[in-house]
Amino acid sequence: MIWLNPWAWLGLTAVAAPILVHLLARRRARPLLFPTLRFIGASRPVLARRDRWSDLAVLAVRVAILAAAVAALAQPHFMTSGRQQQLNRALARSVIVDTSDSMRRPAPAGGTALDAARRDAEQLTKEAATHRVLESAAPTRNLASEVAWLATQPGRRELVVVSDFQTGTFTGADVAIVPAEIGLRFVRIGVAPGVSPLERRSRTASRETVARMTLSPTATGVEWTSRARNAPTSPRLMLLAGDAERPLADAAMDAAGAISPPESSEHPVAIVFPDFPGRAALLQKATAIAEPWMFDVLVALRNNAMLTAVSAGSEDPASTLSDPASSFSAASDDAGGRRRLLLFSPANAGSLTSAALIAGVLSALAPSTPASELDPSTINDETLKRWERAPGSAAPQPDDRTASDGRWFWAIALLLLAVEALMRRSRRSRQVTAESHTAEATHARVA
Amino acid sequence: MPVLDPSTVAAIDDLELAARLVVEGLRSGEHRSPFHGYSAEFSQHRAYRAGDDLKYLDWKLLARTDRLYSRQFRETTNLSAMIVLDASASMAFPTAGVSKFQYASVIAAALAWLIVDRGDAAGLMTASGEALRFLPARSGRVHLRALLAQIERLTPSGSWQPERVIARGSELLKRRGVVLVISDFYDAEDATRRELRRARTRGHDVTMLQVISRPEIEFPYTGNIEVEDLESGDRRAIAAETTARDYKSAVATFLERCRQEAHRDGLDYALMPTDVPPSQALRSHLIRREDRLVAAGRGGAR
Repeated sequence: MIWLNPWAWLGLTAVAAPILVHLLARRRARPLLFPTLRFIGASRPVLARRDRWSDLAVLAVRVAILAAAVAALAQPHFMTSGRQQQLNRALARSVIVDTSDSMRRPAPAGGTALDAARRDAEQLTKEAATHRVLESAAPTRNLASEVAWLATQPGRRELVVVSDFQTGTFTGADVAIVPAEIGLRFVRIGVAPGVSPLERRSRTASRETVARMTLSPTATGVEWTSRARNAPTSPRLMLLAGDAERPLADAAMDAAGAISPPESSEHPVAIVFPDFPGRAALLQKATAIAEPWMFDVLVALRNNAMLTAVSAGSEDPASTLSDPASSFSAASDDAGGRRRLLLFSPANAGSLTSAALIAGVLSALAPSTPASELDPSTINDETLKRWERAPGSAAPQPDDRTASDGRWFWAIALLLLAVEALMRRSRRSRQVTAESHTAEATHARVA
Repeated sequence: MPVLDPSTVAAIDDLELAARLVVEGLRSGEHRSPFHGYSAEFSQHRAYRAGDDLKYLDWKLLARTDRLYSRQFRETTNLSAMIVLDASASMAFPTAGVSKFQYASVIAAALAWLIVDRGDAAGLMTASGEALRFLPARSGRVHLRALLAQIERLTPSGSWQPERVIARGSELLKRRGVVLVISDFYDAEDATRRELRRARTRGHDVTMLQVISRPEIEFPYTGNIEVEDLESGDRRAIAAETTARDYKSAVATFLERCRQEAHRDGLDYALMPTDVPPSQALRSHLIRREDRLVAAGRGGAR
């Protein structure tokens, strides 16, 4: 049996009331008119007559009435096997997929760890009646929101974290946030050891230097490579400009490439300048952006300090606002079978705004990876096992009125009330009949 | 004629009707009247029965018919009975149901009816509070109605005064008669016995009819009670359960003492619990009285 409103049991303290009344109340002597006192000897009235069984029985019934009422208010829920099965069938599962940079490392089975995590998450959602998946680079920051969502779900509830579980990803304090009745499960995604995606690139006008850092459980290696820099090319970032502005666009790309790391993303991006002849056609067939990485790029651009500063000081009449988002319009289209991000710039290719936009896009496509994401040490399996727990027994929601079986306790309370009334009436009738008692047998004995 | 229970009889407002019903129930018992006068006026013949006094045998009829007949005589006004009714406050108990006074009133009315119906004289002596109520012993329906009306007007109050009611009642009987005292005999026990004995020595046939209710015998109360004396107003707080045993023993002793001393003084005695139908209680008493008179040689055909 489950109590949906266990705080109501505090009301049981009210049981003390009838007990105190029973113990403290003094029964007053009943007046009785009698023919004579000559046969009535002096006897002291007994004040402590409270131990009589009839009194105790009435007291017990009164206490039981209160207890039944309190139990009814506590909203009991009888967990029958049928109800348990019904609730257990309803499993609500929230899956948090770790999308931190460490998950971009290759997985042993191929692809990145993030890809493997997404596959696992999809499989996990299929097993649950109600589910949702949240991708986050900081899973612990989203625990509270997921716990809140699970709290609104009926049936058993489980929170699943899919991650490589680098050290620090999850701590005991994070586990404590999750209520005990919510199950916890950790799905570890393996990452190929010794593989480091960390590269730091720097450029000068004629050379490009790459610092490649490799971390392993036993050693940290840094490999420096320097080479002559060719003309700036960007296979993924395309500048769509008219013939007149083409040289200016290339110059802007060259300038931006000198201060920005080369993009490393494989996602295609195109900046469309005003004099591009196909601009109108591109606008016509463009659709709204939908890919997550496109949003990532836009967020990076919005937060780009240089683009913000240039937009604020631009003399370009099309870029009078300080909001970098006003420096372009975003859309997407299909290019070579892949979704491409289109950034329609209102500024000419030779403007400072365009150069800042190009530099911002290059930075957004080459996100820096913090060294901590390369830490090969992970939370060990024993710890994860210790934190894990099965989903608690399914409990009905307190606001589900049909879940409460309190009516049975109310019925018991009413029945006990009737019993108590009968007991009181019986006691009164005994006192009344004492005065008009008729017993032939006794009469015969006396007569 | 069904025997009416005490509560039914007490519920009848008309005491005359109640008395008549009790007497009718009494007659269904087919007993002979225990009250006999001292004069003889021929009334009728009846078949001789073994034990009949031979002086009442009608020898002339025997000679003519060769059958044995006894002569019966109708009593005229030879019997005078004085009913002494206790109307003290203690008779008002129990306050719920049939009180002792209601019961005693019905008994008194039935006795008066029975006596007057046979042509004898019945009187009433009682005290309500400090005032004595007296009706001389007379016969006749008109007097009976006056007597019953007097009883109906009574309300239990005051205390029991045996030296006034018993003594005056027996003194006011002009010749030897019957004195019927109906009371609970609780109070002034010595004075009561003295007056009863004195009435007996005057030649009266004295009967004690002791009326008592069931709660007075069994004391069926529980818990703490404050008992108030109906006559004196004195109060005493007691625990009923611890008092009951001694109380019942004392009452039983008292009742037994009343019975034994009545027997010793040559008085008729009957205990009349109020839960026994009045006609049944009277019949039992009259049968016992008749048997006693037969044994004493005063019965016979008269």
